[in-house]
Amino acid sequence: MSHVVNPVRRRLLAALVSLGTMVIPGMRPTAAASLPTLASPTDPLAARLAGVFSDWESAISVGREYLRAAPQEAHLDLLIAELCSRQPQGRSAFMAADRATLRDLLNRQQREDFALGRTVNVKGWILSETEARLCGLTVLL
Amino acid sequence: MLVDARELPNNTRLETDVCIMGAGAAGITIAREFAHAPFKVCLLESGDLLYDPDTQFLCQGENVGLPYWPIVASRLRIFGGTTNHWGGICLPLDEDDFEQRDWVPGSGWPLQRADLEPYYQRAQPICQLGKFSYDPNDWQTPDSYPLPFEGDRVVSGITQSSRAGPKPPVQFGTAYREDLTRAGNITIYLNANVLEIDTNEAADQVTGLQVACLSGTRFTVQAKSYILALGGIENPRLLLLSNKVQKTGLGNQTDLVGRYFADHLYMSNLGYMIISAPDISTALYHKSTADYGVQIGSYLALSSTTRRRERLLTSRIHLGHDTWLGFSSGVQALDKLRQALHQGQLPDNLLHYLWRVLKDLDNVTTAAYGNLRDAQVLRFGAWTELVPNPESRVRLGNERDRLGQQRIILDWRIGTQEKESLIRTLSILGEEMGRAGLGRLRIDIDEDSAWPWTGGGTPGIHHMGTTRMHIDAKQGVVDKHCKVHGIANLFIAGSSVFPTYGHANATFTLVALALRLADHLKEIHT
Repeated sequence: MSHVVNPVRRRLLAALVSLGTMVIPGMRPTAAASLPTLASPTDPLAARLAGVFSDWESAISVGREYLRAAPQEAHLDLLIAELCSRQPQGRSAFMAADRATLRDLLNRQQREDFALGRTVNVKGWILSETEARLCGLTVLL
Repeated sequence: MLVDARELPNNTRLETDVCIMGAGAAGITIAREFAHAPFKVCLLESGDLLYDPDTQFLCQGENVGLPYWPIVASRLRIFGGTTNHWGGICLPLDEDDFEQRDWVPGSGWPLQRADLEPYYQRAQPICQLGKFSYDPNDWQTPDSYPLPFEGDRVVSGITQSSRAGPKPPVQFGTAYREDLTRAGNITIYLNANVLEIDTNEAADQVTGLQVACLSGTRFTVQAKSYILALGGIENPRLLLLSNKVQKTGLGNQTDLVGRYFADHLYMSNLGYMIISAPDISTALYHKSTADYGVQIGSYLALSSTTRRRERLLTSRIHLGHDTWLGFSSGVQALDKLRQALHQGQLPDNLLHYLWRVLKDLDNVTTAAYGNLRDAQVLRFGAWTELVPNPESRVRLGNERDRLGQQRIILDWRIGTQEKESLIRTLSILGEEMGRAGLGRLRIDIDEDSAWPWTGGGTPGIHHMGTTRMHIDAKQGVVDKHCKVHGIANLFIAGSSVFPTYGHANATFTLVALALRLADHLKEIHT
């Protein structure tokens, strides 16, 4: 299936390539359980999180449905804050992780969502808050 | 011995020890237990060995409640009863089906699952089933096993049926007629319609039965014990018709006869399940025939613990293949899926995109985002328990049948607790699928869904509850021995005695109860 990559996503993809799996210099991990720093439109964490998807069209499609169902979550900083709040070390856990570890963290967070009933209904589909928010994030980038 | 009652001399008076009214699954089971016993048994059946439309039309009635199957066809007046057209699915009730649950008004049997266990075991060969195990772990093979959920919220269960390929499920009349006709102490009377149950003045003892044939022949039966085994609609009908002494109908001093009518609700299409975990087999959940010709099916359900904790009704979820997707190889599968999407043949595009999202998050990185063939997309449906409802009932109408008997009026009603319970049950199933990394669930029923016909809802034709069991005569028609309260020698067999209904098809339990009643009566008569 072909992908239409718009200019915003081209810049994002370029940012992902440059980020690779390294922790961004100058960013200190936040203290455990403290609120993450609010994201800016070029928040590298946003790009890092969205980078788990290789199929953007699908992620955006799911994300779009999620944000229709939960319009109050259509804010990039809110989505990132909520995603990070599930990690004991907050956003630093994600920032410090390489791509594979990041995926593992998110995967575990997904499963924990289901175990704790942190689910959302997106057009009848029972999804974890984490996966729904990750998809929502791709819409807003 | 087999007798055509039409050939009896008019006004014959038959005397016996035990008279069983109805030769369906319950009546035949009880009669077989009495074969060669030291007492005489008379088995009365309205129908003949073959179908007769005039006899069948005696079942006609009026439906004023929820849409239902044609009443005239929902049970059979033929030797063997409704086993002549049943689906054969058997499984026992769950333990919590017998419990008093404060979120289920009217719940609580005067016996426990453990009390019925030995009778379920005896019912197993009677229903011509396989080994007595409803634990899927006893049926699994390397390619067919329960879905690996984590924790204890979701379990799998097994159904069995004697149906195998083209062979229909066991038809009790055909299978067991010879057992009965060979027993010297049993006489079967065909074409015999019980019109009324006579009692003494106090209505605490049955003194006889008035019986008639469509040919005009009439006769009476006197017995020491009488067993009503006519089914969940005809049992209350006959009690209500027998109102010479007790004007509201026999056993109906508290206006319970005919009330609490229930059927099982089956919804064939409640949503979709996508199994995204690789190398997971759902073969166990699709009907298969085990080596000895028994059809096995499996289902998903919440555990009893979870149902109690969440205060939910019992239900079971069956999975089915989405055969019209027809995936073949990888590239072709993608093309077919794309075509299906464009032609609007898939339930929604989100399924396609979600699958890819799941593959990304599960780190399945292939050139084609994982082969769609790896994703099993399954429809699912569910059988669900109904809440006992006294306003749901069978009563007598003004129209009369050819024998002059008032026809029945069916007024089936269902509340909304069942829908709420089912939605929550499916939500938990969705959570557990995600928790175990198996996949995702789409639920096509919500608070606004039309009820109960959303998801292809149909009644299962299991007529239950209309002469319910309770130790208190104010809350039931029969006691724990299935004896009608206040009447010394009248018993009721069949699913009309169920005080709650579970999700399990009714026949296996009614056969077990029939065996239990037979044992009780054997103690009385020997």
